[in-house]
Amino acid sequence: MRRRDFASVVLAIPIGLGFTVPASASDPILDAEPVDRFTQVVYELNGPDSSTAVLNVNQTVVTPKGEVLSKSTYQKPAANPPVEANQAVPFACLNDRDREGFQRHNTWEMFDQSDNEFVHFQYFPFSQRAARAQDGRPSQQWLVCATGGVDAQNGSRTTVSGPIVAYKDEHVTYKIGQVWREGMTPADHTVTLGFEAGKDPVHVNGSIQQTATERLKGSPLAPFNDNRFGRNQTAGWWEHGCRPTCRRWNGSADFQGSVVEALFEFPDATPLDPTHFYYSASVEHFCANPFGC
Amino acid sequence: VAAALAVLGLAGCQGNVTSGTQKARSTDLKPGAVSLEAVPGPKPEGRFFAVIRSGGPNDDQLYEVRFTPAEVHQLSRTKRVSAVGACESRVVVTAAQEEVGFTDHLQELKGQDFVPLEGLGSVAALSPAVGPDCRVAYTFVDRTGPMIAAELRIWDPARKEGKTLFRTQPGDGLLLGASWGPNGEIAVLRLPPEAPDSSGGGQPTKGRPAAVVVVRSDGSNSEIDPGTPDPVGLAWGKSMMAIGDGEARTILLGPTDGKRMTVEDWRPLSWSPEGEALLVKDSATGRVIGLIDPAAPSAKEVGRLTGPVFDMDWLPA
Repeated sequence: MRRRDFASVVLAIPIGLGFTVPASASDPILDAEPVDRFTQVVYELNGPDSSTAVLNVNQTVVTPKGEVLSKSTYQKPAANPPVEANQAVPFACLNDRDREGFQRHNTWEMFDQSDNEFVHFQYFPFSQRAARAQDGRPSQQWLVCATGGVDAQNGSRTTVSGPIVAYKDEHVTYKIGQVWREGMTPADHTVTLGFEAGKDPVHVNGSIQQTATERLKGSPLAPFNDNRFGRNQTAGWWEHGCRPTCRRWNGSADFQGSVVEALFEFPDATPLDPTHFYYSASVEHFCANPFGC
Repeated sequence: VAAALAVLGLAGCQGNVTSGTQKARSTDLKPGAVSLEAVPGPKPEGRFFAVIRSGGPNDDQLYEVRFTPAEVHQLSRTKRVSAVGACESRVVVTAAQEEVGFTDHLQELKGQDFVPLEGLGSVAALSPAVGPDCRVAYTFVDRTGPMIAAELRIWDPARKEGKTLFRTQPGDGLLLGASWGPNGEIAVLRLPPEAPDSSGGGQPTKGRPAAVVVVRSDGSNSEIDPGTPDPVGLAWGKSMMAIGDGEARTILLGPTDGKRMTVEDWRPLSWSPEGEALLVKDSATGRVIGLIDPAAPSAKEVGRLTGPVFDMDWLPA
């Protein structure tokens, strides 16, 4: 007997109270109603520094076809409440060495905890002097590494989650390099860019640990964002393959996110500090609980 | 034809650099996205290796320019070229392409590619200047100590020997704009020290002000006031130095007699091989090329490029 025929017989065996499932019956899993709405969220940090910044949260509820059902916005202090140790997830960007002319700036933290989503991203700006000289002027380079993600709870399931970094200029391109991870999501991964000048270059390693499922993507253009800084932007995100037609057991209830790095170059005389850069995140989730989340 | 010319170019680069019989040749890669519009009047004669921007800030590439007839040829597809220096048999650049980590590295044109200088290896360097005997002067940023130090270095590709000629003191600014003098000296600009609140965030303000540092062939050195607190380029001719400054002008400085002249709205590019005429670019756009006779210091336009030029080295025809 061929394998296919054997399977038909097995599926036709009566089960329970004389109820039979013919092999040709429709699949109750595949036939379940798709999720009819997603919440797409753009998080943005704005402020003079990470500790006093404001977190802008722009939410849009859409259908799988992208029709907008509602929009809402709220703001909150970026670092309030502080992240407790037991809430922190293992992700960071670290430089492998220090050297003169290289500067590690304060970390910017994006944290938003609701009943359903635990959102936590971190942004690490670095700079280096005299990386290049052109037209009689030295240049400075800035590297921004971002890592983090979202852990969905109470019936919420994540379908997109990832950080965005950019230099806040819509008119001139300053970005010279970028890196993100593409492909099947590993349990943990690292991306690396660096300041290569000299025999002992500084490398910045951004890492994240997450549940190995679905895919990682990246682009200069971020999901749901207006991408006004697109020419100077880099985004990386985790995405569930069910999109745009997801069912309630799709998405992820585990921590999911990504890590990106972008490298920028400016004339040395340009006055720059970490507030000139854009720290954002894209998140999409839906409620899998038929009674609401 | 392109392949044959590429081979000729490669052979020229591998020859005896002191013989003077072999020349660096353009590879005629393609005309490129940059063109030159000639203007009526006398034109500079020779070959001109130039770094020109064809598009965005990452589109700076190496070209060979000729004024008679007006021609521009792209020499390499590699982008993010920062500066160029050349002799008869070598074209040396600093370029910050992705393969070298986006930071300036000293490289040599071989065919249509940039490769590390043989014997020297991959070196993060700035401001190359190639002397008539093909020795390469460049500046180096030493980041290994507690404070950044800049060095003026030299590399002899024939002997495959190099050494450091000058090193800044703690707190000094960077060294840029190396230029060969008429008697084998090398001059370099010591930039002003960086302000402590600048974005690079590193250096205190206690360093010495900007200066032209002259290193003689016997190893001795001296300093000259550049005539501006903000020098942005240096070219040393037969009898005068040309210094660009942040005020968008060229200062002509007699290093021995102290004579000074100023030409407004132009920035220096390169002296003629004899050191008697100065090629300049307009400060506003960087696209208009002019010629200055130090005896009558005003610029005469000789051509217009479609993209801004960032560096140029003038060789005999």
